[in-house]
Parts: sequence; C-alpha cells; structure tokens
Amino acid sequence: MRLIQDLSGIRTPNNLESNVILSAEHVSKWYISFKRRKTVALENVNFSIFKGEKVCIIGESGSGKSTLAKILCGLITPNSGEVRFEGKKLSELNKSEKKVFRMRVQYIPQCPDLALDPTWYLYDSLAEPLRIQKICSKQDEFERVKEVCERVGIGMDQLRRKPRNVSGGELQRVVIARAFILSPEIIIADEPTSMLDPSIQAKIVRTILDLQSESNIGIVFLTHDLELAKLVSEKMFVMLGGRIVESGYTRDILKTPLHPYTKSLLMGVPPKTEFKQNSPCGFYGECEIVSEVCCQYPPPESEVYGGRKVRCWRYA
Amino acid sequence: MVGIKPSFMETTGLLLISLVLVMVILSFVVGNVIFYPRSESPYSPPSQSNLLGTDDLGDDVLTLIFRGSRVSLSIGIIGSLVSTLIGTVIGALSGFCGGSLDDILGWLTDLFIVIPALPLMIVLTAYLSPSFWNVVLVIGLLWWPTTARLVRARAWQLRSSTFVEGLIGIDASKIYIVFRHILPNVLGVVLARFVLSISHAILLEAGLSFIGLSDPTNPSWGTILHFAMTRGALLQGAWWTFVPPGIAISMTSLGFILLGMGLEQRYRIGPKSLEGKI
Amino acid sequence: MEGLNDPAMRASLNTSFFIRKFVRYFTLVFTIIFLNFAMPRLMPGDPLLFLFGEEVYGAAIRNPELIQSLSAKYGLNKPIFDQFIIYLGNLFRGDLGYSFSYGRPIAEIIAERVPLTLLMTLPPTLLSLVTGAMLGLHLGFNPERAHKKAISSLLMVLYSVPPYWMAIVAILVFSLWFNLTPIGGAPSPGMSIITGVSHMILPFSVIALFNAAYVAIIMRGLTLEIAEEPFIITAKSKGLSYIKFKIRHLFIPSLAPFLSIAAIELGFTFSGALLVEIAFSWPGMGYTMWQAVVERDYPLLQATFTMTALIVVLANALADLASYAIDPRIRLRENGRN
Repeated sequence: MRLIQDLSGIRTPNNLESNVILSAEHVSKWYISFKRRKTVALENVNFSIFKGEKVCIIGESGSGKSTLAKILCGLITPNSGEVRFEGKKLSELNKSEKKVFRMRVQYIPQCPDLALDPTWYLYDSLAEPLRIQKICSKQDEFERVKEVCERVGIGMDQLRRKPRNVSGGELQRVVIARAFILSPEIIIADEPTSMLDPSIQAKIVRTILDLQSESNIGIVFLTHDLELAKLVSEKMFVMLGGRIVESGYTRDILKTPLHPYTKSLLMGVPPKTEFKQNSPCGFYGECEIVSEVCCQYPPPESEVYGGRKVRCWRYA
Repeated sequence: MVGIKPSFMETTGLLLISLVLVMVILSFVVGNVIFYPRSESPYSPPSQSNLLGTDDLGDDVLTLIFRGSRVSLSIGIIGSLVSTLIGTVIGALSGFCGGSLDDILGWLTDLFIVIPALPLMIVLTAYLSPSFWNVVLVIGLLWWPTTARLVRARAWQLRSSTFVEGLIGIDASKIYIVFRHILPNVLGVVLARFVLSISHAILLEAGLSFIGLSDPTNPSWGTILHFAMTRGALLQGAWWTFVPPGIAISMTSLGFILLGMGLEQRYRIGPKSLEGKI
Repeated sequence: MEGLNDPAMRASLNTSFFIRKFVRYFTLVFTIIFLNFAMPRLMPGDPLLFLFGEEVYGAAIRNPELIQSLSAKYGLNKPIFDQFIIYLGNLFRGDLGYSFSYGRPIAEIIAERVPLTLLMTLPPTLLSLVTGAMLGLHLGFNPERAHKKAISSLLMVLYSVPPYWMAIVAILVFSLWFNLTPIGGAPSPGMSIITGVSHMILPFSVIALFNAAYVAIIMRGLTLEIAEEPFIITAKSKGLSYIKFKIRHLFIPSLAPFLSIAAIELGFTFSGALLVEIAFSWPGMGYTMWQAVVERDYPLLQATFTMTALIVVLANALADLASYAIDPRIRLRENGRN
C-alpha cells in the first residue's frame, strides 16, 4: 500500500482526514419538473478539498459542475447527503457559524456581467462584503480595497465606474478581488474565464494562481478546458451526467486515464450524442468497451489505488 | 439617468406636461388677479371678455379650466403615487420572497387585475362621498395590480440573477438585499409605471367626475364635462363648455402616456443592450 | 418540448390546466359576490342607507316599523355570517333587491339592460380586435417608416382621448351640426332598420375607434419585441414571401401574449364603453349606473357593478380559452410557474 502511494505521487504530509476543509458526502440533487418528471443534476457525489489545495472539476456543460459548486458554498441545499465545513454539517450550523462559513468560502460566478449589481459603483460592490461582515472601519476598508486592487491589478480610478462601463476582463478582476477581500480559505471559481477572450483568460488565471500561492488558499476550479485544468490543479475530478466518474491527482489522470470518458476527453474526441439522463452509466452508448452489466446497473465507485477513484464496471 | 438624451416620445411628453404645469401656475394668476367676472348671460359664446365663453351659470370657462387643472393634476399625481407605492411593495415582496407569500399576493393581484376597476371605484366613491382625498384613496387602492405584476416579474428575474446569489454567498440578509439591491434595480420600471399611472389616474378621475362623483365646490375637468352633460350644454350646442376641458384631459394624459412609454422602453431592455446609452 | 409528444402527459397537463382555471374563475366570481355583500355593510355610515337607497331610507327613518320589516328581510339583526347566507339565498332566487327610483325589482331592470350593453360593446370590440391587431402588426414591422410613425402617433392621441368625450364631440358634429344621426337613445323593436342603424352608428364608431387604437398600440409593441428576437433573422434568411413571413413569424407568436394582455385590460376598455353609454343616453349598464349615482339608488348601483364585473370575468375566461386553443405552449408555461 505504502509503495503504491509513493508511486502515485502522494507526498503532502497534510493529507490527513483532519485537514479536509470542505467536503461533500453522498450529495444528490434533483429537480421535479412538470408531473413527477425527475431531472437529476447530481447523483451520489463525494468530494473533498484539503487546506491550500488546488482542485479542478472538469466536465462539459450540463454535467452538474455548477450545481456542485453552488451546493459546496451553500447556495443550494442538496436533496440528500451532507456538505461538511471543517467537519461540521452545513445544515446544522448556527447563525454565527454560518457567517464564518460565508466568510471563509467564496464563490466566483461564471459570468462577470451579471455578478455585480448594475446600479452600484464598483468600489461599493467591492467593499460590500466587508460592510456586511462588519469587520473593519471605513478607513481600514479603504486600505483593504486598495491592497486587494493592487494584488489583482485594477487601478483605483476604475472603481469609480459602474459595471457596464468597464470591460469584461476588468470586471472579472473586480469579481475576483471581491472574493479575495475577506481573505477566505476556499475559493470556488465557476468557469471564471469562459466568457473572456483567450488572451485575457491567461492573465486572469495567472492572477488567481498568484493570489493562491501568496496566501495558501484552497481553490476549486471548474472548467471544461483540459489545458487549463493541467495548468491550475493538483487534483482533478471528472464529472459526467451528474456523477464524478474519475478522481485523483491531475498528473496521474493525464498520464493514465482510467475511465473511458476521460480517455476520450484526452484524445480530444467529441462525444457523439447527448447523454441519456436515466441510463445506468452516463457514458453508456459512447463507450467502446461495454459489458452486459453496463446497461443494467450504475457502476459503483471503486478506489483503484490511493486517492484514485473511478466509477466504471471495468475497475469494480 | 443624468445626461441621457431624451427620445422624441419623451420630449413631446415633457412638452405637453410643461404646458399643463404652466396652466396650473397661471391658474393662480387667472383666478386671483386677472379675474374674469361672471358674465350676465349664460352660454355666451367666446368673446373678447370671455375668451372661451361662459357656462350655464355665466361662469368663465377658461377660468374654470385653469382652476380644474390643479384638481385633475394633483389627484392624478397623488393617486398614482399611492398606487405605485402599494404596487411596488407588493410586487417586490412577492417576487423576491417567493413561496406562499408570493402565492397569496399573486392571487390577490390576479383578482384585482380582472375585476374592472372603474365600476368598483364608482361604487366605492358613491359610498364614501366624493371628496378630494376619497377619490385619491380609491384610485390609489385599486390601481396597483399592474404595477405589482411588473415589479414582481422584475424582482423575480433579479432574484435568480448571479449577483443576488453572490450576495447570499457573503451572508447578506434578505431585507438588506431587497432594500439595497432589488429596489434600486426596479426603480426604472417603477418610475415608468408611476408616470403612466398618472395618466390613468387623471383619466379615471375624469371618468368618476363625469359620472357625477366629484367635489362640486372644487371642480375638475371631468366635473365641467359632467355639468355640460347634465345641464344641457350639449343640446344648446354650447361647444365651448365641453370641448376645451376634453382637450385639456386628452393633452395631459397624452403627455404622461408618452413620457411613461418612453421611460418604459428605456428600462425594459436589459442592462446589456443599454450599453451605448448610459 | 419532449413532454408534449407524450399523450399521457399532455392529458394530465390539460386536466390540471382546466382545474386551475376553474379555481381561478370560481374565486373571482365568489370575490365579486362577496364584495357586493360586504361593501354596503362595511362602509362608514348606516348600512340601511346603502342597502335601500336614499329615498326608502328617508321614509324608513320616520317609520320604525318599516325599518323592522326591512331589517328582518335582510336579516340585519342577525350575525354577519347568517346575513351572508340569507344574501346568497336571495341571490340564487334572482332577488337583487328593489330599486326605488325605477319602482321595479332590480333583476328586471338588469335583465332588460344587459343585452343593450352587449349590443353596444360586443360588435365594435370584436371588429376592433381584428383591425387593431392587423394595424398593430403592420406598424410594428419596420417601424421607422415615416407613414407608420405618423399613424402610431395618431393612435397614441386617440388612446389618450376619453371615449365619452369623443362621443360628445361626435354628437355635436354629426347630430347637431350636420343633423345626420339622432342625438341619443338605443334602437327599439318598433323602429325601422334604417332608424335603428342610425342610432347605432355613432356609438359603434366611437367604441371601435378607441378600442382599435388601444389594441393596435399593444400589438405594435409586441411585434416590435418579437421582431428583435433571433429567430426572426433566421426566418428572414429563409426567403419566405412577405405575407407568409408576417403571418407565420410575427402574427402567430404574438397572438397568445396579445390575448392575455388584451384580456387584462379588457376591464379598462369596457369601463370606457360604459361611460360612452351616458353620452349617448343609451339605456345600458353604464347609463343605469349613472342614474343610480345621480338618484343615490345604492342597491341598483351595487347590482350594476356586480353584473359588469361578472361580464368582464366571463370575457376573461373566454380569452383564456382562446389563447389555450391557439398556443399549446401556454399549458407548459403556466405549469412551470414561470
């Protein structure tokens, strides 16, 4: 066992259960539309992130990434399962604990255009988290805004504008600054670059990574871009049709993908059809190696070796 | 808002409204300084001494119209203010809070949107006696549903928008979000609705007065029409007693409708497509 | 959209649609009846005055026995709930009370006058729905053309003119100055066709003109909105003929929202028509309402309100059904709450 761990590149000494900051256990989320028609967004998802870890959730649109992200920061309550923050269940937090949770876990939404109140000046929007949490005086507030602006690279004069008067890239920097201003422990970034030009994308990602390394913040990066995932993350979760089909260290997954879906992603083969909602395995119909059991039961999650989990009958 | 070029519609509307405002200001001058005396002859046609002739009592029609502008305009503005306030609060609460509160308020709105307002206003005013404030109250209390519906739709849209989600994510309270974020964002819609409601309130007041439900000691434009109708000015062919007040009503309501529709167009389009404009 | 192809689901959607609509209209009718019951009893002042009208009240004040017998009939000394039951009972027997100003039972008066109101409002409203929608569609497509702008402005002016004033001016011009039409009154059975038509021509045109202006404004707005949608660009690039394009891609999609908006504002136009009746001395509901106000005949006033409200609710129900028949998406949209 020890040998396998070494092979898979697990070196970090803080990789203990007690260092898990945020985790999701058997989380499911579904929506009931029209008459008893169930749309499953997430199914039995397990997720965890350690202190200061860079994690990436990869999957295409509709795979449930965003739902998972919102559940992790408590914006959506799951239908079953639990989210734990520092070991405590999210649903059982009292008011002050909830406030701390809201401060420690920050969310960067997908589309910067709609992330800030269009009627507010950027400065006020940026300082708003400080005001709501009531953690500093007016003078400190200005200092903190100034500091965080320098770190993300926006000039203070830009803050005298309203959201629609600045470009998408600048706006996204403000949104990032807003997430960092409370010095959180975890940042959940939901495709923060997908709405931006490629040239700006790289800069934004660089900004986030710089901030991360400066203050040892945990980051959950949601993306559909493999290149980006390779760049930003240590650990990776691959999502498909509301399930996590493969998880493990990014290096390992990129080197030896186990799940057929991950393989097709790495080869750059686009999926042929839409995934069927209620089929037992999300990849059924696409997969080249199908056995009889694949179309009957959903595959269980199985740990192949330390920290490397796959949801496929081949490894069950 | 500041520094935006008004559209043709808004300009025309503002022009008409300022005409009415001039009329209101002049009403103090005409009524008190250049007082047109009561002519001896009723129904005397327009002449040098009475620019718009006289009515059945020999009162100068122009003076009556200038005075009526105060009543019609003030009932219009105050009535619309009351109805817009009620509608905004109901709409914002129901759109943002959702759930059973939304169900109840939505049901109430739906109810009052279908029941015809003017007949109900007529009955209520008849019971309450048609004083100035009663008319304001009745219009204010019955003309909110459309506003509530519009505000609710906007609030609902905002509620599911990303930035409100972000606010919940930094532990902002519901009350805080409604007052600091939702209300400023629905302000444009509310403003347009307020202006449009002024025109509706003026028309409603005129209708109520026309049917005979107004304070006869403080006649509005509709009251003049009512007396022209009941006291036989029409059969006398005394057009100067009822044509001018009708033109005044139409002009005022047109002014507010144009301004309101202009504002509505400005705020209906989402923030994205507003880009070049602000 | 997949759901619509599933017959079982479609059936269940239909049923729930009708149940919801039934509940809606039932509560509406109940509320109107309840308002009718509650208003005279809750208003500041003596409910007896509002329940009997000024003249009877004046006589009754001097005659305690009359008060006794009237109170007993309406159950006024009983608890409020019992009063409501008595009231409902009276209502179902068709007893709406007695109008002192006419000296007749109110139900009789109403039965006589509702058809006249319908005669005056229905045909011009239907006419204006069709013409107004067509005109609005035309104006909303390429709205920048000069003549379209001019017509739109004219419509706005027409919309802000009170229809009853328009009626007065029409009487002045056509009846008094040119002597073409009678000054007022409704056609009655004994009249020749020409006289009958001459009575109807002015009220019809005034109502049709006002309604058409308003309908056209709504339709123009809807068309403007739809013309901005991306699917219109696709449709244009398909190379359809102009007429086909207009009907298929502008008219059909705007029809359902148009009907629902028209239904909502129906009360407004109907109220306008009531006031037009007064100008033409056309003995329909509006005219009756006016007389009731002048005579302080509160029971009659109350009854006219109830009837007009019920007519508007019925028209709304019809509009609902129509939009249901036209646009199947309604069923889905209303189910999904948004």
